[in-house]
Amino acid sequence: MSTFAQLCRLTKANIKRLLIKLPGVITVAVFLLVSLSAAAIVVSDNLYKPENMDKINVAFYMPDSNINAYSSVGYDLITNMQSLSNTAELIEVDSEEAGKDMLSKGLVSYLIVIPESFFGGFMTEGIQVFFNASTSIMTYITNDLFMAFARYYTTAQTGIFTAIDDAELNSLSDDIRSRLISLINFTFLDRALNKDAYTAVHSATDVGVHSLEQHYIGVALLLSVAFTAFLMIPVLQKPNRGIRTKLTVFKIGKWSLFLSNTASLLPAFLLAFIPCLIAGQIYYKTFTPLALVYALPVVCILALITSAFSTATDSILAAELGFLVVILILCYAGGGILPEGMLPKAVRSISHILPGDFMIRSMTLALFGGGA
Amino acid sequence: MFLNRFTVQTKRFFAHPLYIFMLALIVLMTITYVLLPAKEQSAAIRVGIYNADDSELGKKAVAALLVDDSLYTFYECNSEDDLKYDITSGYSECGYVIPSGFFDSYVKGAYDNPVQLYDMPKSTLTLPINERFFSCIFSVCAPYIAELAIAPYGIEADYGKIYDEYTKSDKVFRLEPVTKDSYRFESGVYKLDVPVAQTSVVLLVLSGLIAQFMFLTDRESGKYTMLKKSELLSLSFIMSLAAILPVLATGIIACLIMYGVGAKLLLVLVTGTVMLPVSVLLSQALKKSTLFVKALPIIVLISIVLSFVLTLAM
Repeated sequence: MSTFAQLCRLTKANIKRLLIKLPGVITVAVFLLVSLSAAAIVVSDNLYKPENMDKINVAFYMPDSNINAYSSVGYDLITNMQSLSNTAELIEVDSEEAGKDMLSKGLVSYLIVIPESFFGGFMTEGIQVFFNASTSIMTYITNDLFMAFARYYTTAQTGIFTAIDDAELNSLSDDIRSRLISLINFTFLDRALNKDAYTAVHSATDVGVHSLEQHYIGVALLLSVAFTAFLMIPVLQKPNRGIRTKLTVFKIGKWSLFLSNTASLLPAFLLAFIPCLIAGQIYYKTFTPLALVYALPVVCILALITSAFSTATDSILAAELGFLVVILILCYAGGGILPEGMLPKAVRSISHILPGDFMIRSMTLALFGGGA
Repeated sequence: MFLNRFTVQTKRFFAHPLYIFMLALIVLMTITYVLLPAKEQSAAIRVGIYNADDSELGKKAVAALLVDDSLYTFYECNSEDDLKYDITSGYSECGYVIPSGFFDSYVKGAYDNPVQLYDMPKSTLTLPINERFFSCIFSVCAPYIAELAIAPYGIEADYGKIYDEYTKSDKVFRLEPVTKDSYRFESGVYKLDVPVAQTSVVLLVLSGLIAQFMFLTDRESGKYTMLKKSELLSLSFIMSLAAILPVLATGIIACLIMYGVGAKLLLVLVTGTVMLPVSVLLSQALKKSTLFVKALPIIVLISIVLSFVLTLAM
């Protein structure tokens, strides 16, 4: 019998031996998937901890007699300004004296006094801001916020005054002049108040098209398939040790054995992957028609690495530990343990050369498809 | 008898290259931490901008942002990927990707081409920064917005010139800053974080498991046939102790050097203490070395994940 025929027989025998172990392999893979996925969810939720910043208290006084159509808008502008409510606690006071009293007692850090007819008129009288001097960063953040708001008013007023002068220069009637002022006012209000409409907020933690959680679930899927190698390595090594003489007779060297082992491992890894994929897709209610296409290269890489260690050494422990080290290095360099932004620059520069990044992305694509 | 057996087992472990490698790894990581210079990084609040809008107005607005007198330092990025990396690495607080045609849409008041704002779950200044961002671009775009709005009246030709004059005028509303001088950001000194605590935890688990694997292999080869059950248990414990103790001592010293007395040192200590009885119990439960070697990698993997998750929580 030729060497090639013997190699095919060996491969067939190894596949049969691996298939006998399949129920145990699948059980281990699913168990690992469940436990690693739970860890993935915990990690993705806690990796970036929110910073807690103290709010500062800001009192404001707006006289009642000021309330008209424009003043209501102005009142809403101050009290509903989301950015201010995240940075400062707004407290309305009944009078300027009450506000100053709170300021002197340290109950508030800022007091804003809005003059009568500020919003209804042309904002010609200035808003007064009283404050307790502090070197804390919150004081400067609030000051920066006030300056940003003030610029809106400055720009609005500039726009309105310009429109009035322009209308006068072009001899437009009072009625048209009035309509122009309203038009400029409300057009500018749209730009000032509707910032959310002009902004789309995304999390920078997303990895490509997938969220951080999806990325880590992809890592969990990869590792749960990869670690079934620990059950497959003893299956390959033991018989090969036993038939060493026969291998020598038929001139089946290390390279031929390596190819044979790789061919045996491919279907085993694929069969271990499929139940994990189904379990993941049932849980996340996703369906990716091209899942096997994405997973095939990953399975090939896993088969190659496992086969390399199985063939290179006679010790099961050494082969398994070597495989463990390589998989963990690939996982780390591919952003599977820490996200790319947290990797040292040197590691980041080689992460796209190593297959780890590709393997993690492929598994995530296989499970979740192309969108978050 | 205890000391004698302990000494013999310790010598046995130190003769094993893998064991020496484990101890050397902890030592090497600690030396790396000590020798690597600290990085100095300003605590300034940076905001990245990637501008894909190459219109004149876009360039003018971004130029205004870069020189804006603000608490936040706006800077330009070369690509969207660089922007995201800066945010996730902590270099910037958040970042903007201005898509092509954004300023044209903004001037017209169309909502279909928004600016993309990237931030982190931990960002608390995104909204105040967004106020500053829009306040600046609004002030640059305002004359164009107004000119477009009043175009039906046919008077926009003179608008720009009059607008420029009013921007310098004292008649318009102004707010003087309430804070004097600019905030001085202190520079932070950072050392590269080497995961010594996590590595020590994993190696403690591994050393305990290897000790028990060796015990089971010795027992299966008939070395301890004459020993009673209690003596076997004692020997199993001694082997775990001989394997774990040097790794524990090295790990504790490394954690003291890197973190001082803290939660991570406690984690290493607790892992070493717990691993002693756990490894013995595991070998009693599994009994065969072939079973043990199959369970070993899975246990190591779980310990890696657990150590990582626990240190995250600290």
